[in-house]
Amino acid sequence: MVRERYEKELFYLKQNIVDMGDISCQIIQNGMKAFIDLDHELARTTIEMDDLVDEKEVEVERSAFRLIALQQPMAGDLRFITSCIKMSLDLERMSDLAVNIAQLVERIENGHIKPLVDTKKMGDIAVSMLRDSIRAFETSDVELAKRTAKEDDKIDRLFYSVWMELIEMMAEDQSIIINASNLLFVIRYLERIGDHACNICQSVIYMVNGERVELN
Amino acid sequence: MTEKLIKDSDIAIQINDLNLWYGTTHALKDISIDIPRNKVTSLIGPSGCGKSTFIRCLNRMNDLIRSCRIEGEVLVDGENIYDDNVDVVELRKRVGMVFQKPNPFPMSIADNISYGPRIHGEKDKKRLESITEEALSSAALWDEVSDRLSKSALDLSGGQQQRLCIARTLAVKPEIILFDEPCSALDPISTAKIEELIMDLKNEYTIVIVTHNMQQAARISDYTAYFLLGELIEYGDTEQIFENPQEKSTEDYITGRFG
Repeated sequence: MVRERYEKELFYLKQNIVDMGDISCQIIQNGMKAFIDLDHELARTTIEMDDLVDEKEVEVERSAFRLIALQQPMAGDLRFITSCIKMSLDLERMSDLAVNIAQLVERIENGHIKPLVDTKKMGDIAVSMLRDSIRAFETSDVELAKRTAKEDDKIDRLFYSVWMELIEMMAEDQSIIINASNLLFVIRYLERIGDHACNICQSVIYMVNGERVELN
Repeated sequence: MTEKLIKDSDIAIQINDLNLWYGTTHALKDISIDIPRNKVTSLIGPSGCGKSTFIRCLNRMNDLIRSCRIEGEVLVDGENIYDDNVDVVELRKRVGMVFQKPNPFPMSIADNISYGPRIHGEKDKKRLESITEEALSSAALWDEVSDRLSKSALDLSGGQQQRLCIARTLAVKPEIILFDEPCSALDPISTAKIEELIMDLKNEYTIVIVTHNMQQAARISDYTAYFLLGELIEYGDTEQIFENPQEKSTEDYITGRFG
């Protein structure tokens, strides 16, 4: 191999994104579980996990900039590196949103106002979108990226149906407004997490074939 | 591929099915490419790929090599430069060339510039002086040498000598300028000056440049052609070649995986 050190640096960058994806998945799963179960201890550990993602983001940025400054990457390598930078920003935002969900645990008074069936479903889809988008990145699979982005429609539909339901519930019973508005935040955060997963899919497609697509 | 890339009305040089042999070695194979007017076109590829051989075909520099045989057409403004009735001296006036190592003549700075116009018949002293000033100004050298025009050109720095060679080429009013690795012997500051100059010159001239420095090709050229083993592998918009090449071989070369 002509540029062995360079190849190692590229591999290191890729591994950091995959690791960041794994940690973000864990944070979203834990954040959702903590919120649904109103588990304060799990919410606390979830919030703490965000530091790991922040550290990874800094590491991705550092190694991507080092590659650009020292190796003058071109073509597919350049697309890969710029995509990694963008994906790390999406992953960092997704983790922050999951942390925001965990932070809402302590704001819920006297238990949930309704069974969180659709909200849980939104969380499950978001986690699976993130997992698949990272797998598409790992394997340079454009078709998987496109399929994964389509899942966002399901999250959007659930978002609107839960949103309507909560508006109606609040109109009928003002005593639930605090809990309901916090739940509105949660579904909004999940909807945003889905959008960021779509961004990752877009980055994967650009990375693989140079095509700029809008999947959101 | 190339037909669609450059509109017919924008073509300065049209190369059709160019083949070149050095003895029995087939050095250029069926090259067809259109070079656009008033643009910078870079030729890249690993050593021995044929890019220098190719650029030397554009003003018949390979005629000087006895074992060299050429087939195909090189049309400059529609005229095949390999036709029997072509005056090679006149052709090289229209298609100038700047080489890898600066090669000033061992004479004064002013005489280096006026040499070409003089052998092409210009005798008027005032005219020669104004050609000299104009050429040196266009080559971004006038301000540095205007007070020592009678001094030897060999006393200039490497970067200044190369700009002098560019000025010498400009003095005979060419249409096309060929650069064969013009910066490979220069330091980064001199290289930057030549690159800026090339980008300015394209407003008036058609530029073709051979370079081993891919960042240079990316920085200064509008179009890039990638050669390998005597074949033209890919030719396209520079941004496309360096962001998203269509051929794996191009990708492997420009990302440094071979060559």
